[in-house]
Amino acid sequence: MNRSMQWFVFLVSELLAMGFFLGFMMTESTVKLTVLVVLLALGLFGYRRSARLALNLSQAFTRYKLSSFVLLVLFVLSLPFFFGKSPYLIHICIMSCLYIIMAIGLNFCLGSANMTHFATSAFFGMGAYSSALLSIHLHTGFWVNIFVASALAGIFGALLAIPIIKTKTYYLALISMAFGLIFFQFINTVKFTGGPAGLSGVPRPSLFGYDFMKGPTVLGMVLPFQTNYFYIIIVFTILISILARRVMKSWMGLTLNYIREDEIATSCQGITVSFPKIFAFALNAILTGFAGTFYAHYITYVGPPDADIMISVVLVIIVILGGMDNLSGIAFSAALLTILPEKFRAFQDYRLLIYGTIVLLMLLFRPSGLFPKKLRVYKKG
Amino acid sequence: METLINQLVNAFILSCTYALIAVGFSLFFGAFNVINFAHGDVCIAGIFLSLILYGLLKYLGIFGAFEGGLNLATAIFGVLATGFLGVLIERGVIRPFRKADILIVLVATTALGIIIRESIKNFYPAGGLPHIFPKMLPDGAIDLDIVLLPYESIIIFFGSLVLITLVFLFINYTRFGLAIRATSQDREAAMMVGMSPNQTGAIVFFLGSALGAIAGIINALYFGATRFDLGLLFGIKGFSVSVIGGLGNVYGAVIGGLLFGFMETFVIAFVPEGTAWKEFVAFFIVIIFLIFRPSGILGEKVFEKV
Amino acid sequence: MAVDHVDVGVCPGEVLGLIGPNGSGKTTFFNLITGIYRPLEGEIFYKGERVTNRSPVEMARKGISRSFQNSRLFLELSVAENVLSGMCYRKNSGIFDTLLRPGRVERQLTEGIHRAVELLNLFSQELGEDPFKKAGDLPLPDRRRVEICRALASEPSLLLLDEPSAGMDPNETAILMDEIRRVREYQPEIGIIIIEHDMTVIRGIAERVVVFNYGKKIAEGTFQAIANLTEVRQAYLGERASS
Repeated sequence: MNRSMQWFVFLVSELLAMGFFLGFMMTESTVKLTVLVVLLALGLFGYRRSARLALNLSQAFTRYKLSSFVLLVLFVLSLPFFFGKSPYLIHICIMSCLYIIMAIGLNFCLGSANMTHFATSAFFGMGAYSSALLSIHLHTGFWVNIFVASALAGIFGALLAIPIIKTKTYYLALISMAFGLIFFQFINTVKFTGGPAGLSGVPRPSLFGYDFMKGPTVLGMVLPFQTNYFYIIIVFTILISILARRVMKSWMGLTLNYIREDEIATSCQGITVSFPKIFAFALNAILTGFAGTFYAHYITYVGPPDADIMISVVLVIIVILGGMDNLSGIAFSAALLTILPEKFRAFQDYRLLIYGTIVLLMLLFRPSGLFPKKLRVYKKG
Repeated sequence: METLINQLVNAFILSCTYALIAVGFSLFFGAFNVINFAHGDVCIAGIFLSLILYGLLKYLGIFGAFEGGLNLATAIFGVLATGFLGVLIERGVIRPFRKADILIVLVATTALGIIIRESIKNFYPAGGLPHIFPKMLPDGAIDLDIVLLPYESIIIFFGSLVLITLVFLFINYTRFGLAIRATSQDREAAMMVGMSPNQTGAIVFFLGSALGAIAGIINALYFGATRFDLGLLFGIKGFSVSVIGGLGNVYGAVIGGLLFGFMETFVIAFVPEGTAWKEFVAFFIVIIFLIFRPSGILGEKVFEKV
Repeated sequence: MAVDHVDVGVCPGEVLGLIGPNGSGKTTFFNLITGIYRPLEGEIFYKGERVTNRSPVEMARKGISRSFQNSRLFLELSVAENVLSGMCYRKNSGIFDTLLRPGRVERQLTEGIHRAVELLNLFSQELGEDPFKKAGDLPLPDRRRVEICRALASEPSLLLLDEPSAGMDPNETAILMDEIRRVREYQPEIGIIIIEHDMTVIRGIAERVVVFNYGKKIAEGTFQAIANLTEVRQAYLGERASS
């Protein structure tokens, strides 16, 4: 394909995707939504089936990486306009970003290093509750909390990691699940954390006196207050994605992959195994804790359901579905699994049942996920 | 003194429950290197399967004088049906993953557990609410001077002992038990002497799931009620017990069950607000074990060679 | 007792063959030297230093590298990345560089990849031409080559090869022997211990041979010398073959 053809392909596909996204988000009718989902499924199926199509698309996007990224960012920044009349849609986008961040965090353990664990809910709860407690008792604000609470979650994760990295993989799953359950029990029981009622009154962020409860007025239109949070989380999501990609393409990312493939061979190459594992855990904890912190200040209330073990399970499902160690795949799957249940409200009760079925089918028939991991590319010659 | 004896009885019954679930986990891991995170939910499914038959019989009005016996029959039905559920699971979910990494099976069975749990919630009438479990064992109690021992507890206790003894005898003295032990040591060699892994798999999963259903039913009998979401905690605790005893080791499962049952009863009885903290203590102990003695009390099966 | 009071030494530049029936403790011996197992009794010395009870990571950094009997390649990664793993521990950049100076990290990685490709070219032009193929996609002899390259990437002074010719036909074995000789040329000071069942390889490359049986060393010497010993015959062929 020549250059102009590739330009055309990339532009058209990206615009199509954006149009699809807008259409999907703004439809209310279940029928139309189902049609769109079926179209999406067909599209994905075709992408996987036709290697040529996939190759052409990925070539086109790689050549115009910067343009596609800029276009995407512009689109995302303009979303509040499109959703100006429906604050709920902006809320869905915010939640998607939080799940994307958590999925990126989990990927360091699960996708890069093959450490399956269910402690994510505990990290999220840790971030959320620490922020709430810090704000309530020490009167710290959002901007301090995102560092302190995330750091606390990170230290927590690292400490948790130290004893358990020596255990076998399946024991890690058990310990982390047990841990997630006792964390839940703990915050549900202890008075300090508000017991079953949780803690309310977490302050909203403040920025030079800007009121976060009032949305900005742009081009004569008053946007809902969620817009403020949306822009903050978008900036963080983009930043985190860039940094995560850097880690994955570094010696550390490579080491985690070595560990994933064969720990013993890795040690015999002179590479210490414990530090990278602890690092992956800490990174996972920090990112998830950050998501928890943001959530606390956004919703201004934290409760035991925020540390429900099912959060961990859903995130594991997201990473497996999206394709282990594939950042774009994981982002896609995180957004998908956050948006779908919100749009198909009628099926909320069946959410977990559907997720369970999908992941079981995935593991049976396509364990590499929707977007399997790619080999790293290096400059030759 | 009375309290102490009552607590001992409680502890034994709890231990039996945990031991029965843990035996299932050890059987699955021992024979096929499979960690079946759906097992806890399968146990709960057993309870609900009995409830389904019970509901059906009640609807058809087939009770009356035989009430206790018929209730027991529904329980037996539940156990057998769960055994078959186990066989289905082995064929549909475990077998395709035979060559896969142990973690993939773990996640797949976690998903399966979710499917079972959520199916109960969504498809059983009023699935999300707690359900009363019918009485199946005679009321009344033996009156020893110091304490009143309910018939129910005695029957459950001795029943479990008999059951566990039967399991030992089965594994050590029957052809099927031999097949299980051989397959767990070396599947290919066992195949070569004519022990079909498929048949062994069906037996193992039938046995493990049926035992688990019995555990679930004992639990439901004891508390008088049950809920669809008990499966997760059941499964995690059962797995922990088998790990503490030594994963893959059926004797260890029993010892682990005793340890856990007694520890939990102790916490409930003697620690203030113990009911809320019992899981905390339980899992804390598990974590300590996994850090300092991951092979468990009696040692687990080792299968990685360098 | 998998390895019972064995006394083995090897000098720089020497190729030592290690033979013996299955289960005689040869791989266990390798595992002991590389720190995977800890000895209950006895000492291990390396370049004059006491290294008993060191971990595999420490032993690797001291200059001992190995290949494995059941090939332990990083199958989902590319050939070049496999070889690169030998250089990893020397070149780690910290968190600061990873997050804030990705260009520097990329340069280091590219350098490493180039050296990996050079090493591969030494062994096989084909491997060097397509170094970004997934290791799992290679046929067995190529995988063995990559594993040996990987072991050499850390510039070891002692190379342990565990049955490198297992599963190869006579042609492939001959090529393998050539490659091992090339290793000697490339690094004359390197000591090599090679476990083998294929006597052609041992006869062709090993200068000295040690024979194990039931965890004990039962003979030592040149191939010619030990090939005729009754103990060695007995070990391989059973008690009755003692004529």
